Amino acid sequence: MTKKYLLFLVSLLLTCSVMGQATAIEINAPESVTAGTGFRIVYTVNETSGKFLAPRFDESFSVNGPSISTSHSTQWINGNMSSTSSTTYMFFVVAQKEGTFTIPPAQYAMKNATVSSASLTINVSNSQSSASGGGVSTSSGQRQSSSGEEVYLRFILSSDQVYVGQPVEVKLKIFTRRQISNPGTGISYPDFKGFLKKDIKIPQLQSLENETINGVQYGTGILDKFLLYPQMPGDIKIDRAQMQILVQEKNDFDDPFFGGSIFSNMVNTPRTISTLPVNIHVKPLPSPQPAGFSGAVGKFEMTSSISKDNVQVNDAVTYTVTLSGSGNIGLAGVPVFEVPASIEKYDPKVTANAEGNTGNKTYEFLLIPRHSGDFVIPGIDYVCFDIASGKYVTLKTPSKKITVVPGNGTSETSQPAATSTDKEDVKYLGQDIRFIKTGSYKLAMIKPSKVENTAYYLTYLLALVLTACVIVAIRQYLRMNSDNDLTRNRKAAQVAGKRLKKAQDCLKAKDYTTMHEEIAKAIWGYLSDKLIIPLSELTIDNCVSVLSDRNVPAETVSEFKSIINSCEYSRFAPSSGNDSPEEIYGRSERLIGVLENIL
Amino acid sequence: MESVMKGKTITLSIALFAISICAFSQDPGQRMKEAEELYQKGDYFNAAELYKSLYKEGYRSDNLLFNTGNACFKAADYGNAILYYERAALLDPASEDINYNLQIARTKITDRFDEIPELFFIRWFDFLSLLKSTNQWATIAMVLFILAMAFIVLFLFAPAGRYKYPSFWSGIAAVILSGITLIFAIRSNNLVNHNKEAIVICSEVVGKSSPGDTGKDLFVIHSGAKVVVLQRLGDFSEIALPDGNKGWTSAKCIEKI
Repeated sequence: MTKKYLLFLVSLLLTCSVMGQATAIEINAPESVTAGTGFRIVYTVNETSGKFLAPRFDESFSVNGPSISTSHSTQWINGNMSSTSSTTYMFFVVAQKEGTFTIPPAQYAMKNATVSSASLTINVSNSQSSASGGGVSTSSGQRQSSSGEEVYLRFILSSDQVYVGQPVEVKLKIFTRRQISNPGTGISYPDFKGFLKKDIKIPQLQSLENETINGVQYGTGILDKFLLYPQMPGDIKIDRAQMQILVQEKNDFDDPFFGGSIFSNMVNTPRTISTLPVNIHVKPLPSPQPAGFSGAVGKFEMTSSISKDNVQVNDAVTYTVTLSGSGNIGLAGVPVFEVPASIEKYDPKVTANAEGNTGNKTYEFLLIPRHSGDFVIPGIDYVCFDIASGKYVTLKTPSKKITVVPGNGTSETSQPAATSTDKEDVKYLGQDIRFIKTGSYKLAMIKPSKVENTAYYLTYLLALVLTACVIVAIRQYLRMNSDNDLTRNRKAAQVAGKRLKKAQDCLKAKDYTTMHEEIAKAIWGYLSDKLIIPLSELTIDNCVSVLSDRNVPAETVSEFKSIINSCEYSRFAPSSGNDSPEEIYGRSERLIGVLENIL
Repeated sequence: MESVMKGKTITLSIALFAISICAFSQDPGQRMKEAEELYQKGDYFNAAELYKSLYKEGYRSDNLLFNTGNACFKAADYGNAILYYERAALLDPASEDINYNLQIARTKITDRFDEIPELFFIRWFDFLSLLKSTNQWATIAMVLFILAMAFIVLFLFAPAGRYKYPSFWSGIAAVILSGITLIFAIRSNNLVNHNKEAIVICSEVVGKSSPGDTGKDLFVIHSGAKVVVLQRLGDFSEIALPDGNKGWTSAKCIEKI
């Protein structure tokens, strides 16, 4: 300090010697700035002896400073000494409103003169980042008081666009331009509704780091760190976190000569600082979720191993499945796989070794084979959501083979397969449809239905009509036949009479053989016509039975028999006739007459 | 120039059409084999499409329909699976495999209705009438009828004796049998070709109080549900649920058995 003071005195002396130089004020300021963002206005005077009168800034500006620095340079060139000195007044300004503002000229008062600077026009444009959801926003909050922006808290998010289940790393960071004490204690967090919070241990904040934000130097430090696992989709707002803190404040003691920092009186004042509320956009996982989705979101790998692949019956085998990677590993579901029915599977022992959102998780399944044989433990299909590609991916592990050999005698009892008389029920493992019919089978084209076809019913009608026709035809034919019989029946006596007439002629001519023939013909013909029996079927027995049926008296029938017999005898033995031809003729005539009456 | 281009395009499109026709109307037996191979490879969706195309072209076989149902089932399309199993069961009501798979498919669907079983004699009657196809029954009925006519003629003109009474009773029996088989033929035709029952094939269908989109929503049924189609009006069908409720739905979402 004393050094600076001395230098100042020396410069005072020196300036006297270069008094002839014209005094001017140079301004260095941006033409346009963003509201809410700090910027600098620097006035440089090539003089150190006068008094700087700061311009009146618009009320919407919050101004810190000025901080003052002086510089001197002395040159000797060819024995001539030239010396320059200048004073720089630097203001830190934050424009709070948008618009165009004019800053009036600053003035520099010296013993004998006063110089003014040019006036300054600054265009303040609308702030773009002031309320953006990203916690990385380091802009000073507009609503905060001018002292608030000197010390503030922020949430630093690893990402503000995440999927459900994708962890967000959140850091609570303090920014300060003042000396502070007891940071990191008494933090009150909002309730992280819609999130699952998992703390990450970080070492206690020891010292602040320097960080320049928008040209302003801050001391920063990370107070706390944790992971948030979003549980539901949507825009989720995280409210402010607050913290009590002791801030060293100076009593405002405006020393235009040395700036504020040298002789100010420092006081520790308690103050509550808070973060800005931030929004996290939580995207839902794409629908539909594939079957067997484990709930794991992130980037993972899966490996599996088996402790032994050749075991005895009832010996335990450990099947280890390791899930490693980054994401919500703590919330990832248990891998599912089916083991053969002869192997018993127990619930896994889960060991998670995750720091933050990366790490690994081990599932140890205990498998106990109960029967001997070669078994295949199928590979695991583990479905998780890959954030990078935005798709579901299936992690596959290869299937493992186990050879189980029969145990020694002690374990024989629990192995019922071979020797024991115990029988097990058939195990039904699942249900599925029967397999398709293979091989060639007949494929028929669809055919029109007959019962819907009129032709089908017409066929019925046709059959009926045909039948009727057949019946009528047969009837007709039979009637015709029966008509013939009737005529013959009617004319039977007449025909017989003619035959008898011939027989009479023969009798007169004494031709007895012919006469007997004629009589037999007459009787047979008569019976044939009368009884409607064809001549070929005519026998004595036949006629006798038909005549008896027609109630012809027995004596008439025997008369018929005896006449026929006589005729037959006399035809073959003419001389031995016991009846005279006249008698036979007469009896025949009478027989026909009697029959004619009866039939 | 343009007309030449157009001509070329037409020729090309005709050629393409011809090729596609050739590809499509290849030997049905070969396509059946192809579908079978697809099924065995696990490409159930395409197997089902191939089987369905055969059905739509008019090929019928209980095995074909059974396989179609299986392919739909494996492709997780339970509505169509039930539809084709039901159709297969109409062609072969006695098949144990078809009925088994139908039962399994029914366990996969969402809706549960307490179906009132039909009276046993109707069940038996339907079962008997489905044992043979409608045309087979019709032919049998016709043959029996002609036989009956022959017996009647025989009875009318046979001389009294050995044939008279047997032919009378045979004629009567043949007429009765012919009538019964004709009824079977008609019943079988109604069941196979004019079945009023339909299966929902869309995953979800809303039953409305009137045809059109303005009606009030009455119920929701899901794929695989069996309904009775009462009438059709434009794009809408009036359906009755097994429990007796009625409503109008889009006709595209239900397919008759």
